[in-house]
Amino acid sequence: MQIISKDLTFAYNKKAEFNRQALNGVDLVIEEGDVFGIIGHTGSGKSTFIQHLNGLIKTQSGTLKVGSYDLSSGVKNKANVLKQLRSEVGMVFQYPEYQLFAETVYEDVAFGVRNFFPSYTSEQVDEAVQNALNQVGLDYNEIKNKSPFELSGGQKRRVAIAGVLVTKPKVLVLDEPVAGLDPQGKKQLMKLILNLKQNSVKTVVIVSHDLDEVTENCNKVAVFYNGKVVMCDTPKNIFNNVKELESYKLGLPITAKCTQELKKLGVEIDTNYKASDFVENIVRAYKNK
Amino acid sequence: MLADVTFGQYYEANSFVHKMDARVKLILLVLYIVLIFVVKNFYGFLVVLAFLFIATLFSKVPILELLKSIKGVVFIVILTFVLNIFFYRADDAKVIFWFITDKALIFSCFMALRIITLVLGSMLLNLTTTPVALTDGIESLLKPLKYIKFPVHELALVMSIALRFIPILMSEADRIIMAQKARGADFESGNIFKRAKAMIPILIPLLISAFRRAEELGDAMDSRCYSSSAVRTKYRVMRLGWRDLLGALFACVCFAGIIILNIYGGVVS
Amino acid sequence: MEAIKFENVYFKYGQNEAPVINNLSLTINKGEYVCMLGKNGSGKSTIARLMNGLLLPNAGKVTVFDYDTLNKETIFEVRKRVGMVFQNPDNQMVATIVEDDIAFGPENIGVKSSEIGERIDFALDATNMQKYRFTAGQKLSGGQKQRVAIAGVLAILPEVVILDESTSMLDAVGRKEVLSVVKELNKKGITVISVTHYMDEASLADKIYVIADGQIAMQGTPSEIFKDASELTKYGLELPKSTYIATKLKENGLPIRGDILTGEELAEELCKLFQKI
Repeated sequence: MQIISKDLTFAYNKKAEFNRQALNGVDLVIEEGDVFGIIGHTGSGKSTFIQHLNGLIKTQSGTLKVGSYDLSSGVKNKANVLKQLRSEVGMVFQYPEYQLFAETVYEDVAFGVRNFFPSYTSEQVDEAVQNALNQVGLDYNEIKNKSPFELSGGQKRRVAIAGVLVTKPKVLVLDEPVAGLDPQGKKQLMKLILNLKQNSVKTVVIVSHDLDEVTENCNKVAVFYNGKVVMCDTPKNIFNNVKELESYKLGLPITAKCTQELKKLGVEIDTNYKASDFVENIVRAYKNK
Repeated sequence: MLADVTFGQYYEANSFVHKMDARVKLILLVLYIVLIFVVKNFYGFLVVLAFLFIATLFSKVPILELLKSIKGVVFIVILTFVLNIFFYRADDAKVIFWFITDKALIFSCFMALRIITLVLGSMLLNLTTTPVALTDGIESLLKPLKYIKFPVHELALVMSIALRFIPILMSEADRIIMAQKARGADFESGNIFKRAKAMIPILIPLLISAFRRAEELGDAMDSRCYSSSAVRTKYRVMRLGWRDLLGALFACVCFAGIIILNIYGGVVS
Repeated sequence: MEAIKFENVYFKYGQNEAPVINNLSLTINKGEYVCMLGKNGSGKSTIARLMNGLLLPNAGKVTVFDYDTLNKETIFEVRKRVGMVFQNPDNQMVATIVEDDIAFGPENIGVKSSEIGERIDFALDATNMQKYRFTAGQKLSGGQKQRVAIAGVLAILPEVVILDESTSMLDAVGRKEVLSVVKELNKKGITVISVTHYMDEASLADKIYVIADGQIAMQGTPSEIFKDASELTKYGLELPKSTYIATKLKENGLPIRGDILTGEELAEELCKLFQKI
């Protein structure tokens, strides 16, 4: 599914909405197959934008197409169309473990399938739940009857993500998926998210404030600033453009910082800023001298 | 919205009434309410309305803003009015239209007027006093109850914490609703039982979150040496000023006028 | 001078549960900047809560400036000296307005009204929040809220400030704000104990304790700790990214220092390296 947003705007409605930042004309294309990073300081409109992608927020003005779904303003989508869209565009909110509610892990994960596909037989539900738990690296038989509240923090988060994966979404949108986890938990979960692309998930959209995380994992990055997309490119091109980034109140990943300092000395390193690539190029440059 | 909840109905302005001590305003409101129910004739109500009008002028709150507050009680006012028209009975009443008697009509108007002035008066306090000042005022006024072991300070603290956490929990509820909607939850269709059941995926996470927050807040308060029995002091010392004296004096004159009119002005009944 | 001392401390949450803290002994001196590192569930937050009597040891002894935390009569003496900032910026404010919230601590210990005003001034200055004295907490950013929480603790004039994962819910900007405040406090002589799993935050400390299974698994200066990546991984931790890169470069034969902790240091070291040629 390709996602195209053109001149998408959203004005903050004081009475009805909480915590939503305005959008002032978002132009953005996310291709199928992307691991797409969205960065920007707090309040830049990132969260408001992603909540448009599965129709949680109604488009006020502008064009938004998600695959064959037209979410542009003025287009009326029936409730069942929106439901279908939501089963195909999975959304993992920040700290998703805070949305767990059922008595058992099985019931919690099954919530989505039961809502979206009421006609499923219990075998089909079983299969979907088993599949989702496997995808997040949890042992179905061991965990299905446990209460989600007695699990560790990292396990809870995986269960919550399984609860979104259970409908086999084609697009997976994650808001700060590894926030609050310890370093190894972060590393493992990130790896797991990237592995999802081997299954049904074709496109991954990650909102993050960790620039190193984005450089390591994403093939494309959009920078949000004051409700607009001000830069959208490969991490390499984005972090090459230091001056512009600074004006959007964003820093640099460590590798880009070092490359900049070396550039001042006249040492040009051509790297995509991933740690492994950076190391390789530094070593090469050093040995060539 | 967040600010709305945090500050209640507070209308920000720098006025005579705003600057009055919350305790004085609270006491005056109580007196005012008692008087509304004591008033027996329309002359008394003229004074009540005059008092309200002057107080509003001195509060710099636009009269329209104040009148908006009636919107919420329109239903109750109409209901009271209608019920009284139907059920009010007096011996010497004359029927003026269909089954409606003159006395019933007058009495119904009177009751409606009571509710409206009651709401307007309380609203004026809300508009001119922040919830924080109100809580402080209530705490200070209830202080004597401490002698009968009534937990006055705890009550005030609970009120102020509730005020602080309402917007936080509301935005959290909003986030949880979004997340469950993204998982296909449907809160809008089905009969009442189905809808009530649909609330579980919101209520349970919200409850758990409230407990988690309460626990952390409790730890934070303990860490800052909170203890209900200790020798607590207060940062904000409430002091009565000339405005309070003047305001109270004016109110008392009005109230005295009402009582006098009540005694000599006849009775609507 | 010893600020906090643990002697053979055991702690478990329930009667029948396994102990979370297992025979732990450590001493933190006045003025130190100490970091407790460990993965989730290692017991590091429990240790923090044992330090100001929020939790009490089942066996062993915790002393804070010579006060035993088990002694109920002196528990406020302990808490006056050891302030604590928690994880969630939303859950620590008692009052709606910033200055009222900062006043909460001094009010609890019976400070006179006029002096509370002075303390609020001092606390707002120290956290660089003077501008927000009359603001409603709800309108502040995460980093600002945490600075208010620090100010609320400072108004009690503590000797020790513990940060229990206080930056874990903040964005990069917020973290930077909080850390710079904390660094300043430490310079002014306040003992700082930071419980975290952010490796780059640990590099600011004088001393790191790596906690695993309720015990001290490793201890030393940041450069000592980060020398051994394989051991850190054993305890669920990772090298800070700049240290990781430096190690990789070294493995590839570049003559680079092994004890690099921050991005700035790495950039500096790389520049030196290329200047030499």
